[in-house]
Amino acid sequence: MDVNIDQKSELEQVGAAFAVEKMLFVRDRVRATIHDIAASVKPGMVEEDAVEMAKDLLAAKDMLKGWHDVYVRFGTNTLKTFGAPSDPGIVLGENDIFLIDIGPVWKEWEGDGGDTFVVGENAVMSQCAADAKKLFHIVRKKWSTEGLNGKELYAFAEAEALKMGWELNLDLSGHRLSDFPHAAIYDGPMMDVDFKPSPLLWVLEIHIRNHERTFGAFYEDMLLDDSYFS
Amino acid sequence: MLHHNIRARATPITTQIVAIDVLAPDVRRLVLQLPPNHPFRYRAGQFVSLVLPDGSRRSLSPACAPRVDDCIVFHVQRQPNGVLSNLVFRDFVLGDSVAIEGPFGNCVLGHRSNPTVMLATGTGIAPLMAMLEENFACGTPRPITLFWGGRTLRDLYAAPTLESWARQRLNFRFIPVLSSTGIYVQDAAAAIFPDFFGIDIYACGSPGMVESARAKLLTFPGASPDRFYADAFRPSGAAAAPSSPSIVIHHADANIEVPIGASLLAALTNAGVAINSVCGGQASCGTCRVKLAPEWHDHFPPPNKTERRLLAYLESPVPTHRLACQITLEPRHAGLAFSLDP
Repeated sequence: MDVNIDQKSELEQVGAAFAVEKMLFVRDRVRATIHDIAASVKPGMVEEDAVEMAKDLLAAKDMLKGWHDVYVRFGTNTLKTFGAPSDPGIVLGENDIFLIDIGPVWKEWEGDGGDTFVVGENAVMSQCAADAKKLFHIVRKKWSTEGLNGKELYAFAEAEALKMGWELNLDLSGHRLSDFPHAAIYDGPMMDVDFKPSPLLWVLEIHIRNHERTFGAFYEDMLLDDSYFS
Repeated sequence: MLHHNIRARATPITTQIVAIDVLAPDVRRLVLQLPPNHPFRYRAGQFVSLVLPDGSRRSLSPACAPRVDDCIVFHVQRQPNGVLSNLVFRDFVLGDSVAIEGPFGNCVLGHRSNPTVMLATGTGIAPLMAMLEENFACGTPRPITLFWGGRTLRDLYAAPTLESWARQRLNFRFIPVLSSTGIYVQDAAAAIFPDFFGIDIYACGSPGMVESARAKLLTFPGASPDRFYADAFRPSGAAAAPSSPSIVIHHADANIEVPIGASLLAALTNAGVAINSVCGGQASCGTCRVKLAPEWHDHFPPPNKTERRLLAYLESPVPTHRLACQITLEPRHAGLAFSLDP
């Protein structure tokens, strides 16, 4: 369903508990937790065990409740799109790639973050992981400076991904974030909106994969200006 | 694919006609607006009954997934002397009231990512478009190939939309099939797919096409009658009552008929009970927590580690708490009593 510009105010509503500083506080915790999880992932680990480890870690940080499930994906499972079950029993190799995607709810505020990591030596995987983050910032800057709407942002992202030598997975195409639950306001993709998304209210998702479809990389964070990415 | 046995809503809901547009010379787009705070919920692939002024009913499948503006879109084919057809093409005006009942039908897309083949003729494309919308919105990476048949290109009135979706989605293929060339949708599918191992098949449209497709494709290696879905897509006629086994459970002084084999969350959602779920049944958000009546506590297997960890984490836990998304209903659960948001 198309969403026209008159719906910007409707789709960008927030709940009674919404607070800028709380959203940013949760964002910081999410970014830190992603790296804590990544630090505990080692070659030889089975993906299911990594997910359990991540959930235990989130519980210890008072962020076990999530508006979506916890994803730690290894190797070929990095191709899987949001919500798709992983192929079972994938073991992280000595030279391999893995991604993390968490969406915790801390008290009344939602967080969401994703990143990709490489263990050992694999130049192409490392490039893919780096390019996911790089593309995130290219698209974010485009949003910041040119005011593109959701559709235009993902059309731009798709073209940029191709220039970099990757395919962009448009099934992961951004979404709202708010005080819990944002789904009560708008549960659709950012790619469907015809207006410029406002800062702090949307998450930009970038999921790229190689043309051979053997692995992918993911990066996501809130849409914010440069001052939040030092 | 989920097999929901979804109880029909007994009381018709009055909607208002907000648009009647021309999709093709013989097809109209009928848009009904649900009233504010309505209890009506449906899943893409189900159908509803329109209660016509003469008291008769005609079943139509929504052509859209549930929308935030609470409008439901239908595609209506002109039928010679058809009661609904005459109303839509001649008599209805904007603002008229139309009562609907339902939803009906138990074939909807689930969260699995099985490869899927869809076959449609005429306005049989409507429920498939709804299911495609839902599939895209959910981000399920299910590869889908859609064959839509018409006599000429003019009959494929939604082709621009479907072609646009195919350009945007790596996992979606749209193949128009023109019977004027002597090829039918089931022939086109048979030419492209050497086998149907692990593939779900949906056929929607003329009964002749559905039966031809069934007869032809089920002879292929791997094709299974259990994966051939067509029953929910009858274009007209009275809505059928659910026929799958069900039990009755108790909530808030009401008896609710629910299907065996469904999760408690899915059963309640489809019965119109206002239960929350944000994470899609992943045991992550905890919003579907229910409190079982004490005598029912031992009638379920103990929670697995994921559910146990989350239940312990949520506020004010008690031993009779469970997540509705993790409970599968069985015949022995008839009479189950519980409360929401305990």
